Amino acid sequence: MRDTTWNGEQPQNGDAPRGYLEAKGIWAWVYTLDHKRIGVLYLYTTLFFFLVGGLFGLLIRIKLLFPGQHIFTNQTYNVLFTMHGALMIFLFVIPAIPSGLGNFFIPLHIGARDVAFPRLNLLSYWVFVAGILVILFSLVRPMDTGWTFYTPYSAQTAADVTTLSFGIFLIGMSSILTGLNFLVTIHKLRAPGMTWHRMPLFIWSMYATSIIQVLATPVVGITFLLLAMERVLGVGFFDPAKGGDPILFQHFFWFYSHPVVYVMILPAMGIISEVIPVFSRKPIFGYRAIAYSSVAIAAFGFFVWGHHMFVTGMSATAAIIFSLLTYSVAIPTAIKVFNWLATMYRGSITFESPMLYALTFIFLFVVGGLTGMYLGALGADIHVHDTYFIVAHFHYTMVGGTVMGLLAAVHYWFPKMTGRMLSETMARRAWLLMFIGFNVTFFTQFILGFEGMPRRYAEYPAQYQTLNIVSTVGSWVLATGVLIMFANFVRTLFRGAPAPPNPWKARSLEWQTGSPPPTENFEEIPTVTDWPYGYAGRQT
Amino acid sequence: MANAYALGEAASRTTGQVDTLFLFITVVSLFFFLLVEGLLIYFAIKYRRRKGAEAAETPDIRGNLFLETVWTLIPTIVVASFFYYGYLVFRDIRTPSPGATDIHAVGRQWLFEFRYPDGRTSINELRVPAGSPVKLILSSDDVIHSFYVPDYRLKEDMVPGQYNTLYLHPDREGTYPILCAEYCGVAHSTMRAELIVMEPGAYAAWREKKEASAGQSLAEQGKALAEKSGCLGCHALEGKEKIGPNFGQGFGRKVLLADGTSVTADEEYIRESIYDPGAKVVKGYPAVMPTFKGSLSPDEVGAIIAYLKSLSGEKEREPEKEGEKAVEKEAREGKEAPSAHKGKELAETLGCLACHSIDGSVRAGPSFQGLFGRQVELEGGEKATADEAYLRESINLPRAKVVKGYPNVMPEFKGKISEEDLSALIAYLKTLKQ
Repeated sequence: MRDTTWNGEQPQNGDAPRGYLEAKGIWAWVYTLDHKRIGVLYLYTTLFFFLVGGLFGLLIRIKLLFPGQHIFTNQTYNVLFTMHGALMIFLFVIPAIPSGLGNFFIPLHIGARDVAFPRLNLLSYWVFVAGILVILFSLVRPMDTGWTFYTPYSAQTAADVTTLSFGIFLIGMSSILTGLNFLVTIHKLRAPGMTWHRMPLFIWSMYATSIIQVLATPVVGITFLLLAMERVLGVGFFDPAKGGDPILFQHFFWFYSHPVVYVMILPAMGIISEVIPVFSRKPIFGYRAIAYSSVAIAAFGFFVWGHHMFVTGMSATAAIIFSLLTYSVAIPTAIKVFNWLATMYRGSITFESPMLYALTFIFLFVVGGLTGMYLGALGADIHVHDTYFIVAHFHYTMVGGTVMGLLAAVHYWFPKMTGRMLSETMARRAWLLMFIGFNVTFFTQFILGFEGMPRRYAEYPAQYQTLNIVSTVGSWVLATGVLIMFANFVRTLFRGAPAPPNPWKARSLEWQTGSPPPTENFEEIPTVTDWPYGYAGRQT
Repeated sequence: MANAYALGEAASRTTGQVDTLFLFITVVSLFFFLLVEGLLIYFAIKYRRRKGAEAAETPDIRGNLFLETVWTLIPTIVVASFFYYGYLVFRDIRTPSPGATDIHAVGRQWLFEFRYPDGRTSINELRVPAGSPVKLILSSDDVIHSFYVPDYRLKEDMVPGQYNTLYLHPDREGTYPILCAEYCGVAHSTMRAELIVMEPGAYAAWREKKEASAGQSLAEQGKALAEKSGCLGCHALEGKEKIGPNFGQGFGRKVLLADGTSVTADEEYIRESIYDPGAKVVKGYPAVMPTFKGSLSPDEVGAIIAYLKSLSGEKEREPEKEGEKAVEKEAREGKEAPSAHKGKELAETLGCLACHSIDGSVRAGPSFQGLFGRQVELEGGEKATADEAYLRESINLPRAKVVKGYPNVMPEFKGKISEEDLSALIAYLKTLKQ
């Protein structure tokens, strides 16, 4: 038997080339208990809805080429922005990294054979699919409330709010089960020698994410149940005519939906903490600060929801407290950014596609973070609240942040997941178009917002048209980049060059097994003797 | 809005304050933006591994307590300054202006209605004199709307069942757009109004002209309602107390509640106490008042509040006379306005025209022009004639029969509109038949 004690040396790996992908046929996927296959199922599903949601986004931009009624009716437009938001948030941004990449890589990262509860994991996926089917069914009378479901409008509209919110309820169930599974996995299944402070930072961020999923998601589930009771049974929780309070709904909704933006961004931050040291060939700077800041963001994130409601007539005292708490989240975020920069300092940096996306994450996320400074300041927020400024800020954090982190991860781990190398040329071309297109599309929206263009406007005053045209043209450049990237994925799946076990010479455990990994990940569970960031020294 | 960003005198005092706050955050953020992005690009270039070159040896730097402390403390100080400056501007926005004129602003799918102290109303047009502050009391009749004046950098939501307040400081004459900033349904983006700030002299002259048509003041209406609704059975005006607190001198006072906390008896408190009297009971009084939810409409509560204010010595300023649509004025002046005329007025005030044009153009709903008597194809495929019975049903319960090609979004008017008004609307639609 080979000595499998892992001390940072590259093992000579002779695994079968097909690894976990050996078993063929649809049932091998439907009934699979392998965390890697379930992760891949999630990735396919979520990336599909990324494309669908993106298509809705393009249609929104096309309608906004003109200030008046053109191309679509206003009602169609309202459905489009609702579906763009709902699909992107609930079926793509929330589940893509945790459920997709988290499933695939948490056990590999900590040296486990699978997650703690493989059957529960499979159930989570199929509950997720059931949720999707219910959501698709609701398209018969499509939603027009915006993804925020604000009452009393959502309690009164003829659209099928009840069905859609039930679909999201199921997706929330799936999210809770996945979070629970990951928490137990990280606690109980770490390889011998992997202490908390030897865990990769991706695991720290997934741990913080899972806590939020388990604690916050039940709240939105309950909220949607109350909304359904109001719509179906006429119980007046939120309708003032029946003694309810519409603002209560917003408190419930944001008590979930604000922490959940950290479910979206924390895993991406974890990925950046993995990619930057590998391609800088230098140890991560300030490991503990990055690890603890993930937990701090998750914790503070529970106390800032009120900043979504500064103009609802909230009392001045509450508004001031929420403003102060909101700024507290900025500090751990800033620490992470400075630590990533310090990691690059005196490194030996190469710019393969994962690194390009990771650097783009930092570049764009800084813009998203700094524009958040305006929104936390009470006096400034009142002006740009509910305008395109918010839309731009949100897209800089979610696309510039989460999606860029996801793409960094997909390019980084593609060889591991599929056993094939992506085309670097295509990846770079796609990256350039996406970077330019994204900034043209969304930076203009900061200006539109400051000039007072409210969001969710099917028609708008004519003076905003020029910037809207610029934004729409940007969306076409962005879409072209996305299409080239997906073409690269598809081409590589069929014709890509075979990947070595560790193409990036990374030191975390997933790279110390085959590409793709065998069904139970490791021939023998490795023993960990060091942290995974020992990149210092002479580079080869 | 075109001139809102030009240099020069600001439209409102809040404009300048908010813009300076923006400028401050922008300058500080720009510094950090250039620092971080600059370092990112500088490191990426300086420490890149050159093609084919011998790879550099990288140092084993794992952290630096001093540096990490520095870049924890500096952002903390920076965000604290943002917080504090944002708070200062917010405090100023929220500080009540003494002597402000009260105007009720009500959002409704899809229009803004303004109610002035003299009892008159206007739709989608708010006229105020330059130089005098205005206290807007915001509410909604249906879903949540948001009152947004981009040139003033101000917005506040209009929430059904709740009063929010917003102080306006109209410093410069001009016409400024008012936009709805909270998504409220199909015609959300066309729910727009105008804030017209007039030179005080011109405003006075204009008001003079309108004065003749003024009806009962809001406070007078409130007085009548208070008598009619039996309030005075328990609340004396002044002197010896009855079961509840006296009305006189009550408004605006800080009162001690039964649970030991205290609250200012402002608009929102009074509204809450009329609708939910048990929620905040003044200390020393029995919690016996019945709710008036359902028996007093939000408009009527607004009138009662105006009445209480007039009693409390918070002297109602000279009632502002306000703009009315020509039709409303005519209707009031005309002896017996024909029914169709009233229907036209209703179509405007109920918001029908936000979705139904009268010139044949297609908006969210079918145009009123030529609608009456026409054959329409319904969503299910069957046909119907837009006769009286059909229109009656479509106004009461719009979702029963939807014309093909139009979204099913019209709100129900059943219970919100009287039989008489319904007939007037239909009479009006008949006149648009071509």
